[in-house]
Amino acid sequence: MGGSSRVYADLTPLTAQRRGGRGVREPAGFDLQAALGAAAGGAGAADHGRDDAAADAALRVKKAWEVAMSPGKSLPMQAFMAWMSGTSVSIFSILITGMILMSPLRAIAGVQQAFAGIERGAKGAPLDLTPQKAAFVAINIAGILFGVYRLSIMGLLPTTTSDWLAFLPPKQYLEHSV
Amino acid sequence: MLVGRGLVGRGLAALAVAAQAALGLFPDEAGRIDWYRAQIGVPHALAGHTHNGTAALYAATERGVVAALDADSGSVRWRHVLDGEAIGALRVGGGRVLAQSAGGGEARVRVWDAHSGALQWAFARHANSTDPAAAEFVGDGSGDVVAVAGGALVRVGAGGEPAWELRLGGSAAFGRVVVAGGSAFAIGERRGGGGGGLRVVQAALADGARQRQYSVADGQALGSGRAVVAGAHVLWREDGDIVWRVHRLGATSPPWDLLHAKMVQEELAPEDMLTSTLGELAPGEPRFTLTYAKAGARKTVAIELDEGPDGGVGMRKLAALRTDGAAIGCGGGGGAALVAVSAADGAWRARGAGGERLRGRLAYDAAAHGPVVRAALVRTAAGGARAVAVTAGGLVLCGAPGADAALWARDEALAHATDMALVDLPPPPSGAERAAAESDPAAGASAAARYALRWAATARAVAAWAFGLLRGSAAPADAAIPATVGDHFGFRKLAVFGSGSGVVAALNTQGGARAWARRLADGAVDRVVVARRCQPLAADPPPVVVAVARSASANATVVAALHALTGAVLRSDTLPGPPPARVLPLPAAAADGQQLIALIWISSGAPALRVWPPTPDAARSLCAAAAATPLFFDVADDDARVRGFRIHCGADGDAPAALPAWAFALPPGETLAAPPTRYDDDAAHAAALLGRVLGDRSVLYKYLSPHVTTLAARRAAGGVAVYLLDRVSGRLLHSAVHAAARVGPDHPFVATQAENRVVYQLWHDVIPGAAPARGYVTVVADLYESDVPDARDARPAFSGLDLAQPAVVTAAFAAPGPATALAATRTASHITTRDVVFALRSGALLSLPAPLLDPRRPVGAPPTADEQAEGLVQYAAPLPLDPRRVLSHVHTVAAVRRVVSAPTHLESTALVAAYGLDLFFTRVTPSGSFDQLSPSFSKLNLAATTLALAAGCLLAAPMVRRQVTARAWA
Repeated sequence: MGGSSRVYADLTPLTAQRRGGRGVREPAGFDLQAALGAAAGGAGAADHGRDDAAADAALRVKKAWEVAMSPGKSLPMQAFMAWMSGTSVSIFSILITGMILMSPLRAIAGVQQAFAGIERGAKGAPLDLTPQKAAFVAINIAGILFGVYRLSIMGLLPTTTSDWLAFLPPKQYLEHSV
Repeated sequence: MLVGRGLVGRGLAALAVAAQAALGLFPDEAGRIDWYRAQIGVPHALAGHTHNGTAALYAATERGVVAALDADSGSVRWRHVLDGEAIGALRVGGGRVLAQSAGGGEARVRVWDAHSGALQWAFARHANSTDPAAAEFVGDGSGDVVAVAGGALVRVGAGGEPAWELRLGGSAAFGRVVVAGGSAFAIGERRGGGGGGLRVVQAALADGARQRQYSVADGQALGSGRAVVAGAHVLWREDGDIVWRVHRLGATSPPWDLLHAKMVQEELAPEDMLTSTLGELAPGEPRFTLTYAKAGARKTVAIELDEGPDGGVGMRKLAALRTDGAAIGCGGGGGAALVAVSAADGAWRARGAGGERLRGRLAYDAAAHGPVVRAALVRTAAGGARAVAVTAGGLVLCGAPGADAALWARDEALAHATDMALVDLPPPPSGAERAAAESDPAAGASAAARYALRWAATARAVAAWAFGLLRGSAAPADAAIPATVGDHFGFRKLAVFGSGSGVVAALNTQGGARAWARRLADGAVDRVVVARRCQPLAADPPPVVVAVARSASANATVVAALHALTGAVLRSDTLPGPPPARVLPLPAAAADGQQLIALIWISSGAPALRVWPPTPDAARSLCAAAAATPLFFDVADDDARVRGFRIHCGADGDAPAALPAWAFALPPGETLAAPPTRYDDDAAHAAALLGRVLGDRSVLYKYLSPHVTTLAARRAAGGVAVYLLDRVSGRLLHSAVHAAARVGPDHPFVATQAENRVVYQLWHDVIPGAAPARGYVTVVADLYESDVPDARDARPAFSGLDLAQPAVVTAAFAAPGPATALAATRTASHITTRDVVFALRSGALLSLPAPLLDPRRPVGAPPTADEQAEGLVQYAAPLPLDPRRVLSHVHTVAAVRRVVSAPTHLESTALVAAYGLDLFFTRVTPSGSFDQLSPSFSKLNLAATTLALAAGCLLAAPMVRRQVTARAWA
């Protein structure tokens, strides 16, 4: 094979293909409307006559929920790793806890980017993904809370009087004795 | 809690101890960061002796030491420390050394091998410390000794077993023993009426049978200058008489002969005889001295008694010397007879029995060591002579005939050290400062020239360092650094000692080099206080130490301010009257920054208080300071009472006086055994953390009052009570009764305090059912604001008058040994753990970590998780004598009187100094040397690695750049 034998794949979504060329035939046995109807739920299935935009929006909302729920899928793994690393203060447990804390923080900071692809592709009026974003943030906050709980059981949260002992001013005595 | 609870607890404790870093030194550090000086004290008896071709000088000292010194070098061949005993007689003969001593309720006689110092035998008899005692060799080659001990005349043979014993009765204080003619004579001054005189008891040497007892020399007393015992004779001169009466011990007819001094010294006139004095010369030998004044000159004649051809007593002159202002001594051992050492300049003259004339000079600094007060002449193995002199300041000098300088000198003043203060030293000059010192500004050198000089000095320093590195010693030798120059780490300080012989001397804490010495008075120096620290600029006032000394001859107190770096007297005042009971450094300074000192004389009313320096400015400064912050002190002016006083000034504000504030009376039947003591200074109460963090992360807040004082009382019903008092209010903070404890000279009460912890040690007897074991017990008491975690008095300022009662947690441990002093280590910021240093009677300085002395250690059960988190290990009664924690490693630091700790500039490191008979200085790192590179750290490797990395980066950079470019084009 020479240097020019590169393979290019056209990954244009099916709906785009449909928009671009009506003459393209569906694969044998594939019913796009039925698929869109199953994705949009019972209402969508019942309404085969809705236009493409509605079907597109429904699909995007579905994808948005998937994105919103994705941080929750990693929580059990993080909990397992935390349990494995123990509660003692060591380099490994500190790294794990740092990861548990930093991943949700990074995700929350990038919430717009996480949903940008889904929002950008919408036709007409911008798609309102606020509930999905709120769920996304809420789940990540739960992750942060888990990390904070980890810090707490590791004794790294300054929640007791001993944590502030070094900052107490020394006592002043009003008399001298020799 | 003296009982250990099982093997598990002990095992855990042992593991905890094993986990501690070893404080012992590595072999290459021994003697480099620590130093040790073995001392013997000021000799009061000297004797020379040659045995098997080896000559030595034997000394019995006022510190209870018997020592053998090398006659040529002055080094200690062997010594025996009889701590707490007063040595009465020292005799050397036949390869044996005999010492008679008293102390601890016993009179003792010991005999050592003169060459090795090995104890041959010892004999002890119960006796009061005031009972006279004496001992002499029998002289028949057997090594037996006849001694007066415990009111009996005893012959003691090998093994220390008495061969016979004869009770002497109480008619006289028998303080002499003479062995002559197959009899032993006990001679003593008669007690009660009868006008004095000597009582003689004669006993058969073989079986101790009483042969005769009689009186002689009526009205005379030994040591009065008119009566002496010379060999087997008693010689005396009646008051107003010019002739001597001499009695041969045991002779009955005639009871005494008459002798006239003109027989040996023709120039004597009757009036000279009337004022002459007799002195003893060589113990056991028939010699004595006559000292008289003639034509304004003082002369001393050595005379020997002998048996006349007709059986009577005769005498002959051995030597005569002018002895104006000189100390007189004898030669002993035949040969030399008399030596006189000038008290002024150390010049000495000696006359041998055969007319041999010797002279020499023992040059020394009389201002630092005082006049010569004792002299002796000893023979060397080769038959030569050595003059030995002892000065009032405690310097022992030895010189050879014809030499101007002393052959050797031993300064024993610091074996009698009474107090010590540490003075920070200025750091060493930088290269620029050295260059500035080397260049002569007056020569008109330009700035550029000085700049060049500075760089040249730096280059020289770097070259010297590199050269040292190549030779394996990067640091310059300590000996090359002047004793008054410090270092950048605060390891080098000046230790200023006050001595019982009136000397103030300054030694560098690193290596022990002497900076200066000065004799202030003929009495003891009671206190040394740093009154002004080193200032950063040379133009600032100099550092000052104030010494308070007794003048025994003038019945006065000398208070002197000395330049801490040179010893120059900056100011000196003589205060008539007895010495002050207390000397208190005050938290106030005069206008020149010099700290004020309060001198306290106790009286039945308010104690007399005098401020030093005695200037109006000082009084006003003290009044201003006392008005701003009330100032309290306490005195134990009674066996059963402690009183507190407040310094108060009148309306004019310049006449400070002591105003009664409180009184603490001991319960009936108790007397003070150890007066209230202030340990260290305010830094003893300073702490980096105000509380102790428990396992659950709650806090017990420390009771860090600087006013806590500790005292011990002896109970009439038995036992010892220990009280912690508040010095401001007189309030009792804590008390503990140790029913089985006993405190006395043999079992001293020692204590120390660090932060909120008081540690003390005392002796416990066995009490059936109560105290199961006999031994020393170390008690630890931790004071907290409350026993409830997180409970704290949140007020920002506290008054000692309204502080709450502390909660006290205590524990007792079996001590690692009898201790003569305790001290807690001290670092700059109090972050490092504070170890407790035990100065043990065995001569070891043992440093125990604070967790081992923790009174919160769980008893009877393994520590819980919280307790483990707190760092507690299970309680075990014995405090281990861990060899790794013996700071003094191979040295025996004898008879330690006090241990002092001082911070350095490194938080990890504290200085520890111990003084008593011996001196010992070292550095400790209780929490490890966390702020220093280890000695094995290779700076060369670090530099090489850094350079290699830099070179690697330089080499790799073009390659990486090429690769990135190629990737971009791909």
